[in-house]
Amino acid sequence: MIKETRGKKSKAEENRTSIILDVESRQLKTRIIHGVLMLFFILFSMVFILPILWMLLSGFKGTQEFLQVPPTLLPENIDLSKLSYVWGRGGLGSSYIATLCMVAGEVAFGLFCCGLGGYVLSRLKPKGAAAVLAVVLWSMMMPHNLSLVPLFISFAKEIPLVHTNLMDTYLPMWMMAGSNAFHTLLFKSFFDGISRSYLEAARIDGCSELSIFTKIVMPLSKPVFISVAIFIVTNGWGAFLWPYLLIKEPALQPLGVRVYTLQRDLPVDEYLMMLTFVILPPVIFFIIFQKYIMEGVSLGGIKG
Amino acid sequence: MNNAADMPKGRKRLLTRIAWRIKKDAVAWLLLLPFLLMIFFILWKPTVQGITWSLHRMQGYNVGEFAGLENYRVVLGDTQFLGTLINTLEYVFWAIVIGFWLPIVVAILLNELSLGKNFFKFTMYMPSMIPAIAVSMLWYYIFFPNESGLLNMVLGWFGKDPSTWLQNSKMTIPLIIVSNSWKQMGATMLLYLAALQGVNRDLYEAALIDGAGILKRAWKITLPQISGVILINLVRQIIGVFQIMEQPLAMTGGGPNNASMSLGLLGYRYAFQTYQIGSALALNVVMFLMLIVLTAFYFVLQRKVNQDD
Amino acid sequence: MKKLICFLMAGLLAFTAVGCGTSGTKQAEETDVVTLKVADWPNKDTKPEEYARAMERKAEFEQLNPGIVIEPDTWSFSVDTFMPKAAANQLPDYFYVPFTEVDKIVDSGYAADLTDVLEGAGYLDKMNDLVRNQVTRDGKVYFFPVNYYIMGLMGNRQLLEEAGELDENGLMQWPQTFEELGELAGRIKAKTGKAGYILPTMKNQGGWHFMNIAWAYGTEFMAQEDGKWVAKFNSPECEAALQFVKDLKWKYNALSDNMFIDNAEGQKMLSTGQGALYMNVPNRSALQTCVVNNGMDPDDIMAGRMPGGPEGRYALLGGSLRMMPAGVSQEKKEAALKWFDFQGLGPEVDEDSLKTLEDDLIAMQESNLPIFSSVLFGVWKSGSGIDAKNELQEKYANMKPGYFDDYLMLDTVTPRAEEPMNAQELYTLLDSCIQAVLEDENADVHQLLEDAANDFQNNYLNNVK
Repeated sequence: MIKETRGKKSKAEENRTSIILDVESRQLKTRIIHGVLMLFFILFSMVFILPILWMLLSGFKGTQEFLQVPPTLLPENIDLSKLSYVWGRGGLGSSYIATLCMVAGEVAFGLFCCGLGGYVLSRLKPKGAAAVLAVVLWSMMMPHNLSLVPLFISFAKEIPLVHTNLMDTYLPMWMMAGSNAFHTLLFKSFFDGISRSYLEAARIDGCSELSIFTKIVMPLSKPVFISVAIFIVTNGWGAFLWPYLLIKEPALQPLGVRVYTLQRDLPVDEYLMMLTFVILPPVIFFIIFQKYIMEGVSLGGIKG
Repeated sequence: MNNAADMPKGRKRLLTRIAWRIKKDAVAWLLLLPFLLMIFFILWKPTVQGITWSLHRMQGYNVGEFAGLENYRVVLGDTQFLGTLINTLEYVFWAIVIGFWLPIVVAILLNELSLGKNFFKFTMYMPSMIPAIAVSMLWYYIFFPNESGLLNMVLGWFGKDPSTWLQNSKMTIPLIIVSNSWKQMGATMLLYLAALQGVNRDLYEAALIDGAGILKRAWKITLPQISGVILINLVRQIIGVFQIMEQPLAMTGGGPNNASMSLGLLGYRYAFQTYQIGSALALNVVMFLMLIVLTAFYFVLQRKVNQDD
Repeated sequence: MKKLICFLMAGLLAFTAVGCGTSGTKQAEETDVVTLKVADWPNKDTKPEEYARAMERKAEFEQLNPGIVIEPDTWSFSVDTFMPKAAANQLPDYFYVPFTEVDKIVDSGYAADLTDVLEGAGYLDKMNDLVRNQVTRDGKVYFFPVNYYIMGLMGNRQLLEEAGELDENGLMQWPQTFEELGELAGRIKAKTGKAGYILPTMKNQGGWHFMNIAWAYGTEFMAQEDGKWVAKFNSPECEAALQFVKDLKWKYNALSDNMFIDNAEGQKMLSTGQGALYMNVPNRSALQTCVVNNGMDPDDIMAGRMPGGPEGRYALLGGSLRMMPAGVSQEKKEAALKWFDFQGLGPEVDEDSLKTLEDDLIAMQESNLPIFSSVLFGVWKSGSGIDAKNELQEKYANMKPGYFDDYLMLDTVTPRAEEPMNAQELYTLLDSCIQAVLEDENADVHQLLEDAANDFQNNYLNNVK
């Protein structure tokens, strides 16, 4: 199933699964249907573009202009200096850095813990691996709502030996990225597809398990590493709840938290411009990694 | 060492094999350890703690003496509980009405297009990349109750009076679901599109020969063929919406007059605003039990669907 | 190789994260030096001048009191950070808390008993009775009182002028009853299109403001009967008060279209001219929010008394306190008292403490905040400080003549403390009632209050142990 969704297909092949068959394609009825569909999708995609466009334009309006009746569609004048003003007022510089630190750590933890976990469960299979696999499956099944409060308490409480707690650090978020059972299973199912003979050959050559993983498995598994990294980045970029609960020092707050707290401090037009700053990077990220992301979604959905 | 040398060859080989095996397993377990530690600390420990602590009197964040079902009595006896449960089911209901069927239809329609398919896929998926909290805040302003909100602006073009949108208790839940579906539609639709690639074309041709029209083919062949994925997604959406919390927190704070209060948000309030930690834990255990039933159902379904493939 | 880098990176990041967390929690445990960790310290980067001033004062204090070291901490009390800090045993030694949080803090056992230090200094008898009630629970004093205030109406002069509500001297005739307030606010909205009155409805602030109205109409919220607390606000008096809130929207048409307003949004609306009148306290922190954070012209701030109703004219009492966490040593308590006095907050003052007070006033002056010509709410009944503080205040007074006169008729208003049991939960329920009457023109005021009183009785009062 995965194989079918991956890889490029020629246009004809891609259209292979449409309900309207090729033989019908020259009929007038079909042409009308296609025309109507096209119109429908042009209008329908407006639903997705318009709100974003509106946010973009409204950011440039003045507060009075935003609130005036009747409202204007386009801002009266576009003042680019407002960009840097809002950037500074929202403290976005430190917030971007905070977000990057948080997400980078999440990617490191996520790839390291889940990648190794998936490798052991797929290829090394020590005694007891079956039990671990069951635990992993259960971890994925378990609703997370119940862990919220106890987990918060354990992050907020002083840790005995270090005499500090994890408030105002990103470690909790990183650990959460490292505990993602779903990603581990993604890794496992990908590693399952790597031919055993490669690994055996390396083992005979006397490579250690770790170097087999780094030298052979990892280069072969770039797609799954990239997919998981993308998952983590897209989820981590706007993470709200946990950073909101744990990061109380304004300078350390990532963007997801600033989006929530700044709503009370900024006038509406500046706030919408700030939202634009928050939304833009993932959108650019999406444009660059479009192919991987879309495939990743189908991959995650079907196997998950 | 000496003992080993005295042993017969076969046993020695067996021993070295066991030793090798143990060493290999030890390495394997070592490599597995980081992940196991994480799921222990992040998932299992707090879940077990949540259940046991819910049976204790909590003083602030400290665990007090055993209190039996006292916390449950307080939570279930709270006059807000029933209303909030009903609200939560209402969220689920609207998620099915608004967010469930639309991606299916759109995916099937999009699959018919030969031109511009990728462009539309791109635009519809874009909101999925926007952080959930930003989507909520954006829609808060789209639903703004005077003419400056986008929706009222559009109504104004058609000469209609502005609506209060989110601040109307009858509309607030469906509208929160609308904003949520706006974000999630693209991703869900991609799943269906992928499933559609697995439908066998021969079936359509056979149906065409039998004289089945386009709608009939869609109804009799396409939908049954992807029904597995549809069911899985349905359960998944229900599980997700059942826990909804951030969206009402950001958009309405649970108002107006508690009309958008969900179980998740009530638990958040107990835990972080009124500091009734015991109540928060008990409420979360109650939710947990409901969710476990749904999730078990989900996994049974998924296993069945994957086997059918 | 890549994995190795990942691994190293993760380790390094984890290490730095833990490292960040540890800084500042170590305490000097030398035998005869008392280290007092003082919170609410100005941030070095964002408020360099204030920080420099504070460090100067710290140095002077340490010179005067060898054996005491002040350790600055920038943390300030907030509802959502207090509990985690307390649970982690990381509270500083001396920090600000508002009146509204007293019950929750004392009940959870996190406040130190300061009775003997205050008693020893002879401060208890000098304390104003209203304030003394606020800091005392079950006969023990848990807080150092700093100031108190009562709520009033704050107005945006520019909008009031635009609406034609100012007289020939540019002064305001403040409404004396809530009906008058409703009519005035309606007129303002009709003239300017902006909200005449800003009514908060969220985060307990709706309920908090509503108290002033409800008391004026004679509402009794709860009473103790046979040792049990009973909710009483399903009464005609409270109905009349809620009816007034409903009228603000539907009869006077005085409110904004957006109903979801919390205190921050309310202040923002007032400061940026989106609304004309707001219940507020013209104290330093509120003025600072309006002028410094929201860019309001200080000359646009006016204030009047809380309007009255058939049963009198009441205003909620608020204020700030300093507390110490439970379990601090006796030495720290005494050191804290010295620091408290040094700040000029005690009943007696000397040259040094007066200098701190003067510095504060200079700082206010530099931020263009209005300064009143006398100390409005004295925490102390007697002591050398009263006259000296008033003199100082007069020296720096810069308020516009007439802009605050109505608010300053303080003895015509009865200050009133919060309700005794579960006040915050009561506010949450009242928030909902307010939202309900704003949403629906036909909302049943009677039924809403019946339900709310029933909820309050069942969910909170019945659980009081």
